[in-house]
Amino acid sequence: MNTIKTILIADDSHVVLKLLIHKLNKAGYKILTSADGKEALHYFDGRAVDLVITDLNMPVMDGLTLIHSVRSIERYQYVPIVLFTSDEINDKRSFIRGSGATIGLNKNEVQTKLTSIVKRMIG
Amino acid sequence: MESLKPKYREQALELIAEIEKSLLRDEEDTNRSAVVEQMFRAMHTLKGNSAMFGFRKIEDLTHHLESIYDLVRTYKLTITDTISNLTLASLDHLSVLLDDENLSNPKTKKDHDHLMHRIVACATALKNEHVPAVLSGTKTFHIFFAPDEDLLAKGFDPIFLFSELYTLGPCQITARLNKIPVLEDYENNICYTAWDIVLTTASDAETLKDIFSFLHDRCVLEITAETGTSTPRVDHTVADAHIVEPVVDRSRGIISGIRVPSERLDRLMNMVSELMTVQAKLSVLAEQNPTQELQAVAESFEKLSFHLRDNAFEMCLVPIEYIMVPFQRLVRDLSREFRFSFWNNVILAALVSMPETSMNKQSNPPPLQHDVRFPWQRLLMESISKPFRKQEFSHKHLWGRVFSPDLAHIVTSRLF
Repeated sequence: MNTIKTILIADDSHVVLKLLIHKLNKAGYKILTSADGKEALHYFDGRAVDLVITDLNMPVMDGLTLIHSVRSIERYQYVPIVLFTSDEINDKRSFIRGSGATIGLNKNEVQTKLTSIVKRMIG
Repeated sequence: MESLKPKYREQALELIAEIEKSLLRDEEDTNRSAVVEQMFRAMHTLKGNSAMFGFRKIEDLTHHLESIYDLVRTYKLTITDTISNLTLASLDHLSVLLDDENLSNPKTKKDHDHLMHRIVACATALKNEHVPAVLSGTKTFHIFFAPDEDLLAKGFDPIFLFSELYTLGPCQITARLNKIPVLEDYENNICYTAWDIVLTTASDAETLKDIFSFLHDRCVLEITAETGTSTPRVDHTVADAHIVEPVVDRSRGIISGIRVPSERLDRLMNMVSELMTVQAKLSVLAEQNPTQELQAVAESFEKLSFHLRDNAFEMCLVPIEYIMVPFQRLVRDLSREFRFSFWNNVILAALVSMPETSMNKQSNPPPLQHDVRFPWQRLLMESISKPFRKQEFSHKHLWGRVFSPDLAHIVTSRLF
């Protein structure tokens, strides 16, 4: 049985949110959005969240705190998380490992790769 | 050559047991491709050995079985109930053939003809259904994929990635399990598994690399292409990577185990128990005659005896798989016959009551193996090594542990 997968996106940029919603809706996913980490945390109330895509820098609560909070909720501790990164990070490998995210994704790859990556992660 | 025939028989029985074990494991669908490969290899070895020792009928029968399983391992066929039943019937018959290769018993001859007819018909029908597809312009790639050890705990599931690879062409994925530690060192949030993937596809290496690119800093990835076009085929050196040879450490050239007939082990256990009695007498004597020299000797003798007893006991423990296989087969046959799904419970109840010696009567003498790999194996072995009398294994005995006297009766009547 194929159920519609739910993706939660946390990003304070309206343009980025619009782009992601457009691409992922088109691919058949259900989207939840939030402008910061704290708002995103409200969605972890028992409902199904199959993937989280989060920006690193956000007001109120940043991406790293959001990831840490999600991993500490028993029900959601194994949810795959994509963290948007930038080229400024030197050792990306250890940064991603330390962040608790599943993978890091450069924002400039969103346009071309996001849908296929999401598909490879949650089907 | 004649003098080597007993050795051939012994190995053939082991191979038959291995195939049966693999088949029953395949039905539980764990690591399927590796299990089928193992089964195929065992059949191949049995066929080769039989040819060498002149067991033509065994060679012939195994050859037809092997051709069916060649279709299975190359993903042109899945194991159906018909194939499973045919295989198990063949394995039973192979064991009979080992003692009656010339079919001197009329019943064996009749069974043999009937079985051969069924196998040949099945193999021919399946082969005709699955004429190998011609794959032009394809390349075979060997991909080694080892995710970071924390990646699965962070929500990554490789199944979707593998599903995509399957869409590109015939693909065989084998898990490398050699890094999985013993149970006490096992951490459930760590991924110890890596995968070897053999993919025949029209896509190029760049496309394959691109599929894994989102994990580029989260895994070890090696993609190598075979030169020239080819049909899908498993490279055995890759498929063999996770197979553990339990007896001989080939890399070091050291023999870590020997084969000893179980009767000798029984004799050893008897002698050890007699020795323990003598030791107890000696200790009493030493207490009654407290001379320093005698007490020192008694103490040393006691220590040595205990070591010897523990050592002998460890040697006589049988690897758990030799116990499980006959029971798995019993579970399978009964559940098929009566369409019950809870036979595992019945058999587990039986297992905790069975001593090692009665297991030996159920199966062929197992090779001596010194390693009991996991603590739970040892616990189980110890729990089943308590004294046992047949009448204790009654309906009532099982009733307390399982479901109904009727079921217990069926199990006990099949076992003894």
